[in-house]
Amino acid sequence: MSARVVVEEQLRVRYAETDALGVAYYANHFVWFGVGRVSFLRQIGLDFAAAEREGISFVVAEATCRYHAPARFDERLAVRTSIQEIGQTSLTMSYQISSLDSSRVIATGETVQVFINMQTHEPVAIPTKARRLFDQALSHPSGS
Amino acid sequence: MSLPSNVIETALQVRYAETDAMGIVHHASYLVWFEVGRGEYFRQAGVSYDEVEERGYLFPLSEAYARYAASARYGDTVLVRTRVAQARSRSITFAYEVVCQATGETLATGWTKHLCVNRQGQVQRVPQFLRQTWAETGQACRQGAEG
Repeated sequence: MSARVVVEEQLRVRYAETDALGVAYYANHFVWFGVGRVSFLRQIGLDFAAAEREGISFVVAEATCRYHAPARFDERLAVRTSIQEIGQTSLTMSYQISSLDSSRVIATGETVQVFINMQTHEPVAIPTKARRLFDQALSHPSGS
Repeated sequence: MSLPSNVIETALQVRYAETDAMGIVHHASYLVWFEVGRGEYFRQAGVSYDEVEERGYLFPLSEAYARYAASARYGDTVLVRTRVAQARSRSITFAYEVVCQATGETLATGWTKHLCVNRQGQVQRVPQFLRQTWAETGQACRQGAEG
């Protein structure tokens, strides 16, 4: 038995993130996915800042969000992040944002990240150490 | 080069607030640019979005997608090209292309799907006054009148 590692990060909707309709503006969900992503990488042991010092980073190549329910000011949200697919130079992550106040699902989505050489901005293969961490997070032995 | 008549083009200057530590525009900023393009589309089609809201119709997002091809930087002027990709009886999908004005390079493409709802959040048929303006702006609107 194995299961994907899912990392949860909590946040609250800020007033600056709401719009005239009284709900969180739709572009913020992509920023929240980013919050989940960074938390996920930290949790699985990937030192993102160190990778950048070695000249490797990643950029978002594709992003999707499906909006299920509006989020309101001060609502407590949980962003649950996991790996969906590991490619040669890319990594697909999936997200679920839900409300901790109402337990409603707010949004779901995916992003595709491409690893790049920060100098040339060309895609590069996922570094070995990072790939090992991603592999472990995708098929994590249960109970460990 | 002239654009098809059903594509509305909006020029934007990249703001410093839209860039991130990598020195390029943050990917979420493009979703805001899509909204600027969409707003201009409503205006040029004859009914501005605030007027649509005043009449009691709202178009919240049900789905958004963006694909990033190249980076925009501070100092760039970008063109957001907006069109109606699909108009259905209760929803509308806008498609976007963001182009660098100086080079003509495509930076990103994407789409947003919107439901037509009233102030109570109940799904409505897209009102006739909008169908008409959209149909006049782009023939794409005539697709998928069912749904």
